[in-house]
Order: sequence, then C-alpha cells, then structure tokens
Amino acid sequence: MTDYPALSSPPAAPNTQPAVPGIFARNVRRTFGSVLAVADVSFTAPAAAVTALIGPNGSGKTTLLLMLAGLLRPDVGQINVAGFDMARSSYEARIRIGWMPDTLGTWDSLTCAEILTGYGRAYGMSKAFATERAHFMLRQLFLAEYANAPARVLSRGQKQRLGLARALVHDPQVVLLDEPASGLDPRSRIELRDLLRSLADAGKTVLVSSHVLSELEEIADHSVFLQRGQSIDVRAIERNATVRGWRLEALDPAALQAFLNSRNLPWRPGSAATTEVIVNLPDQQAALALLREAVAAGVPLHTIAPVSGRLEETYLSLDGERQ
Amino acid sequence: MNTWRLSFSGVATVLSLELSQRIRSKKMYIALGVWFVFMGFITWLINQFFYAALYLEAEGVSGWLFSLITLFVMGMSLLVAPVFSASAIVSDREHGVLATLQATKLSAVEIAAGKLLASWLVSLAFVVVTIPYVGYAVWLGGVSLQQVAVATAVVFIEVALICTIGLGWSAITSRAVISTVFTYLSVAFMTVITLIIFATATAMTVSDEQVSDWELPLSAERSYVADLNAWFASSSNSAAPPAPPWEQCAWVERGYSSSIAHTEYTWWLLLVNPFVIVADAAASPTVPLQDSVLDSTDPLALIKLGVRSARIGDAAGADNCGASTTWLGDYRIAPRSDGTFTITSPDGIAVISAPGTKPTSPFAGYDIDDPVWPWGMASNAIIAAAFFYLAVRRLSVPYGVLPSGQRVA
Ligand SMILES: Nc1ncnc2c1ncn2[C@@H]1O[C@H](COP(=O)(O)OP(=O)(O)OP(=O)(O)O)[C@@H](O)[C@H]1O
Ligand SMILES: [Mg+2]
Repeated sequence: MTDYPALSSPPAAPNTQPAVPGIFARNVRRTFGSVLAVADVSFTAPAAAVTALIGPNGSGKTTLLLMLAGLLRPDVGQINVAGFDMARSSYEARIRIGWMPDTLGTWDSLTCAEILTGYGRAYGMSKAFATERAHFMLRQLFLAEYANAPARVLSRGQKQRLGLARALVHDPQVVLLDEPASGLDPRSRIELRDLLRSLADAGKTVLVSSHVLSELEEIADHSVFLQRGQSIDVRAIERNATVRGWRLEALDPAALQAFLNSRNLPWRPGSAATTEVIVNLPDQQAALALLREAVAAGVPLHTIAPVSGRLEETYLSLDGERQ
Repeated sequence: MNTWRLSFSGVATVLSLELSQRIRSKKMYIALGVWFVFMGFITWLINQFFYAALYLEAEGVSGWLFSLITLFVMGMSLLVAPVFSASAIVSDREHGVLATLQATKLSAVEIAAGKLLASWLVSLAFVVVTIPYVGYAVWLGGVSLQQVAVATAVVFIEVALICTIGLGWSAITSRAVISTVFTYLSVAFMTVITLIIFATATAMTVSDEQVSDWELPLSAERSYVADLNAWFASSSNSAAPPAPPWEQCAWVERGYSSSIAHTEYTWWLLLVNPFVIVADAAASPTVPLQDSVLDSTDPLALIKLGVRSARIGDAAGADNCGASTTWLGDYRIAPRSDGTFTITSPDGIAVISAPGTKPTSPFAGYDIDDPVWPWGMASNAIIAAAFFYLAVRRLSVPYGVLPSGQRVA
C-alpha cells in the first residue's frame, strides 16, 4: 500500500531533495488517420513548478495531454513522465499521473463520495482508506456538503471541481489538467490557483492547459505554446513582441489626442465603451517618458497601462488561427 | 504491458462501481417484480392446460411444466442479458468516464471482467426469481433435482455467454444503441438463424438412394432358425443354444430407393443453440429410437432426441445385424451387455445363447446416448473467449490506432 500524504502537507525538505523528474517530451507526433493532431512537440515541464500549455482551439493540447497520460501512443517521439519512459513503462508512469480530461464525465447515479472512493480503489487503496481519502478530497475542493448528493445534481463548476478531486485522489506526482478553470467562478479560480500553487510547492509537476491566460500568467512558472500541433520557441516570439500596446485614458480625450498628434505618435481608439486610445511603445522606459511629457504638457492623463498580460500578448502574436 | 494483469481487488472495484449503479435504479426492481409475476402466470397457464384440458397425471404435467419453464427462462434470459451487457463499456464511453478508468491502476482485463461479472449477476437475478416455479415442477414429481440443477447451470452459463458477446460488441461500437442491436442480432443468429441454415443445408443433402439393409442373408437366417427349432425341440439340452451367426451379415438390397436427408453432415449447425444445449443436458432420459416408445415426450426430450438423431443421421437401410433387438424367423433376438443374446421362442420361452461373434456394424458412428451438449458448450466457450479477447484488446491503453470518429476523451 502506497502511503498517500495529505494534499496540503508541505514537502518534507524543500530544495534539499534530489531533483524529481517531471515531464519530458521530444519530437512527439500523433496523427488520427489523415489528421495531424500533434506534429512535432518538444518541451520540458520540471517538477515543483506549474507549466502552462497554451494554444488555440485544435492546436493539439488535449491530444498531447492524452499521450502524456499514457492513454494514447505517439506515432513517433519520446515521452518521459515521472522518470518513466512511456514507450516501455507506460503503466508505471500512468499510476503516478493525475489526469483531468476537458470533458466532464461522471456516473450520474453515484454520489460524489462513492465516485471518489471508487477511483481511490481503482488506484489500489483499501476501502477504508479510499473512503477517508474521498472525504478529504471533497473537503479540499469545497464539495463536502455534496458528499452524498448524486453527481447528477452538481452544477457545472461543482462537477469541474469533482473532476479535479478525482484527478488528485491518489496524490499523483504529475498532474495533467485539461482546461480546469472552465466553468469556474472567480472565487473558485483563485482557489484553483492556490491549489495548483500548493501542489507545485509540494514538489509535484503540474501541467495545465487553459484559455484563461490572465490566471495562468499569475501562476505559471513556465509556459509551452502550441500552434498547429507544434511547440513554439517562446523566447523567439518574445524577442519580436517587445513592442506592446499601451492603453491611455485622459479626462479630456481631445487634449490627449492632440498631444499624441503633436508628438507624431500613431494611436488608435481602444474599446468603444471608453474614450481610451492605444499606442505602441517599445518598452517601459518609453512609457515612463511619455507619461512625464504628458503631465508636463498639462494633459489630464489618469490611466496608462499595458493592453494585456504577457501570455496574452504572446498568444495573440502567434500567427496561427483557430482550427 | 499490463493489459492482462488480473487482480481480485481490481475486478471487485469495477464490479462494485457497476453494481451500485444498477442497484440504485428502481426500474430494475420493477422489472424483476413484473418478471416474477409473469413467470407465475405462465406456470399457472401450463398447469391449467395439462391438468384441466388433458387430464394428465401429475408426473406428465411436471415434465411439461419443467420443460416449458426451462425453455421460457432460457428464452427470456437471452433477451434480458443483452440489456445489461451491451451497454457495459460503450455507456461509460458515452458518459466520458471510460478514459478516466483506463488511466488508473486498473488493467484492461480487470475492467472487462468486472463489467462482465456485473452484467452477468444482474441478468442472473432474472433467472433466480423463477426458481420457485421450477421447484413447483419438482414438487409434482417426475423431474429429478439433478435435472433442475443441470438446467439452471446451463442457463447460467448461456447467460454468461450472451453477456460476453454483449461486452465485446459494447467495446467496439461507439453507440450503446448499435451495440445492443448487434448483441440481439447475435442472439438471433445463435437461436433462429442457425436453425434456418440447418434446415436449408439439410434440404440440400437430401438424395435418392438405393435401400439396402445390413443383415443375415435369407439362407443363413433359415439355417440358424432350423438350428434353433431343433434346439427347442430337443428335451435334454445341456448346452446353451447357438449364438446367431452375425459374422455372415451382408448388404441385402431391397430393390427400391428412398430419399435420405444426411443430417450427419449438418447437425453441428445446431451446436451453438442455447436451447439445444439446455435440452440435451437437462431433458428426462429417452430410450433408444428403435423401441419407438419414449419415456418422455416433453419438449426438452424431443429437442434432445431430435439433435441426437440428426447427429446419427439417416442412411438408406438399417442395421438388422444384432446391434439391437431383431427377429430371426419367429425368434426374438435381444442383445445383452455381455455379448450373449436373449432368444425368445414363439412359445415365449426365453433362453440365453452361447457366446458368439460380436456383430459388426457398418453404421459405426454416434450412439443416441452420446451427449451433444459438451460440444455445444465448447463451441460457446470459443465464441465467448473471442468476444472477451476483443473487449480486452479494445480497452487496453495506450491506444495505437483509434477507430475513426472516436475520441479518447
Ligand atoms: N480521435 C480523433 N480523430 C480525428 N481527429 C482528431 C481526434 N482527436 C483530435 N483530432 C483532431 O486533432 C486536432 C487537435 O485536437 P485537440 O483536441 O488536441 O485540440 P485542443 O488543442 O485540445 O483544442 P481545444 O482548445 O478546442 O480543446 C483537431 O484538429 C482535432 O480535430
Ligand atoms: Mg482540448
């Protein structure tokens, strides 16, 4: 019987442990008939960190996660998870992985506690321990009051949390989450963020695919971009994407526009609901300089901020389209 | 990999997940109740019909009651089993939980075995509630407890077979509806369609053949009858009468032809049929055809007799060479197990012959007492093994090729 530590328990001695292997993928490729779902993906997701998997619809995120979870065999390429080679020891790797699919699935007639107990037992826990663990997970994900409710009655966000509890019930070393934030309200998202953080702090490898980039920005230590089934060298993109849009808003919009025109700075209107304008600036120094000049010129400027998060910027600079 | 890793706790986990879903549903209990009442009604009908309409003795009624209930339970089980098995894997796939199960420590064979066991146990509930009615047939007398035990065991096994077929279909289809249809088609194939194929194939074997019997030529018979006449006439016999001279047997042409259906080439088509198997295994004993009087004429006995005769087949001619009771002149010659013969004179005096040559039969083949059901069971076991293997293969991860149009999750 494996010993499953409590989820929130801190790692025994952080940083002094030998590096635990995380996820390592090289030149992974997978086709479905004539459809090339994952063309060529290489990346590393280290342990004790949260790695974000970002890409447009149809870029192959789910397919990649399936291969990492040991459910789908790559056509070519090498995958190592938790120190095991997927090609040879997929079972060894599989039982150390907690995978949460993007489609929510439950047995409708079973209660939440029964479902989690069942999965606990499927991971080889004794009945008593699985029951205890199930209730622990329900408390962790704020579902304790639904322990004896059939999964059918749960709301979408609650089902999503149940799915998360299911993926974590066996205290996996590697956590693969396919869009865990979808359907969650803002508070649950923050809780999810804290949960992922605590998992990473406990030494787990966490790989999250998500579209909610602002959340990932705050939590992800690393990010992997996928585009048309290909992993993108993010540093190369960031180098190109140093010119960012900045949002300016003044109490007197006309004065601001006149000021910008006098400086020969090209601007475009921002969102229609406001009087804001967007200008492209090379870096923060330029933004500071512009702010100084505007204040000196008497423009009643009250807002200056980058248009979007870094991830979103990079995401949008991918020239690929949705598929 | 670990596709074939089998542990008790793994199977038990899947089984309890499956069962707790089924047991939760009220529909299941309602169906069981309806089924119990329905079988009671059928029993009452059969009972009334044979007692009141035919004035049969209790024993005759019990044979019919047992036969009809057994056939009915078998038929209904074949209809019930697909309901519970044909959705086993595919419904989990439709609900998006199959992949999460496959991602756990469970192996493909554990998932398949757990689901098979669950659908089998649920289907068996329908067999078990009919036991009181079978018990009633036993209570009437004439049916042995052993027959009941055998019939029940065969039904249990056949239900397991149908469940395995359903499991196999549910593993390879992507819709529960399609899997259910294919399972019912399989049941239809095993019960009705093989019967039709058997009839058609048998019709094609029919041919006109010259009739010749294997027997003592007239001259040999006359001289033996003369010997017997002399023996019975003499008053002081120290030795037993001579044994019939079977070594002289030959083909005797009858000079006409008759059309013969060679079922010995086609009988095996009936093997997979669950009704044939249960009848052959559990029917009341029959006595050899030649005596043409059957101990029992209930449906099970008739099916059993039919399939066994089909296996023996038909030939243009008969074996009158001492294999069974024959008449030589006015003497009745009946074989005994030790190789001698009981000779009954026209005056009704029976004596035992001296040991003689054992009759040889050109019709060497199956006997009416040779059971057919072991072959039937074996054929079913092969079918079940193939479908189970299919299910396990389709459940094993990581997937290499996926059927087109199917996602893992
Ligand atoms: N089983 C399958 N058979 C055929 N094509 C598939 C299969 N699974 C995925 N694909 C295709 O592979 C591509 C990648 O799909 P995938 O589900 O991995 O995308 P994704 O990045 O997860 O998208 P999303 O953000 O919308 O979830 C898509 O074009 C999809 O149509
Ligand atoms: Mg996806």
